[in-house]
Amino acid sequence: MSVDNRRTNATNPEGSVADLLIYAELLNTPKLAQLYIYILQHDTVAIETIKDELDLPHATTYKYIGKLEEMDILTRHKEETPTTVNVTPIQLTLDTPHGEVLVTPALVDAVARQLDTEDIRVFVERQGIAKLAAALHYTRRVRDGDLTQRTAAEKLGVHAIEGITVITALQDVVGTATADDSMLASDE
Amino acid sequence: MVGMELPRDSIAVLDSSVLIAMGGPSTDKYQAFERVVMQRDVSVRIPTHVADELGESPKTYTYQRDRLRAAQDAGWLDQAPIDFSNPRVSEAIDRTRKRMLNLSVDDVTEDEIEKTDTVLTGVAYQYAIEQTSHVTVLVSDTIAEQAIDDVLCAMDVGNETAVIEGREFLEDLLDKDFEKRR
Repeated sequence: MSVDNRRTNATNPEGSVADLLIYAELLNTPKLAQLYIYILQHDTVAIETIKDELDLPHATTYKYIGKLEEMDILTRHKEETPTTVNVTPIQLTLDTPHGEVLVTPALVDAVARQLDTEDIRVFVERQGIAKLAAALHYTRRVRDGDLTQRTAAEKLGVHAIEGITVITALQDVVGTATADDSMLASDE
Repeated sequence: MVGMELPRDSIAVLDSSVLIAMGGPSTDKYQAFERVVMQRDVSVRIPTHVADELGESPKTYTYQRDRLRAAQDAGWLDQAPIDFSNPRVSEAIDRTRKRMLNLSVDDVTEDEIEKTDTVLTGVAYQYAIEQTSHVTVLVSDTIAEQAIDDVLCAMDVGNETAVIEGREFLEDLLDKDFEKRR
């Protein structure tokens, strides 16, 4: 597994596992994922703006900001008034027997959208995060014209309607990732 | 695609992917679509095969089936049985399957081309040969769009039919609605 964007040493096992743990926490905590993605998409933003836009309680906002800072993926600019923050776009490359798998902030975005997109929430409840990652992969392939949504559902191993529903919902995630290319790198 | 309209008094063959993209009856896209088909007297048809697939989906997706029912109850959508007794209809379906396989990438096998994707061509062909109305097929896959259009043209009903990307059509409808209200 290799690390990108945050470490200069390509064979840094500590860095690799640290990134894995960061990703695991983001993928398992939708509200944290939502905060991370919001900041990523808005470049440098005031903490108070984040609180208002995401409608988060004061304590929760600062708790999550603190968490991302501990993970070493958020920088706080205290010299600014009001204090602003920005985050690093992290990605993981996993070498698997089936080839290279790239895990990008787009998956974190998809996880965050459980909070406001019923179709994604239902899919994750039924199928889990790993399947959501696969669905995101196939959504890109459908968008690229490689295969139809029904064929993608077949490959995902889910009912056609379930597949079409989640792929339709993930089109927005993939669309955002394409628009924000510099921050949300695209998958294979 | 911008400015694409459904002709008056025409038939629109809808895939479930477009119905799903619309959202429920309370959403802007659903209501905009309902408005335009009722204003322009467009008869919306969903192949029985496609409706059956919705009907057989996991219980969690009952809300998707409810959208279909809502449209049927509102009177602008009906199911369309496929006339397999017409060999040309079966031919349209077969040719679509082959064309979709051709257009898909190498790791897609023939048994992964779903029948439900291909029946849309058959239904569109059925209506087109009646020559009473224009037929628009609404899908939301580039492969489906290309394959269905290719086959309908090859079977000489290209003039009577059009195949459009349903999600773009819905976005376009919303933009037009927004423009009108400004």
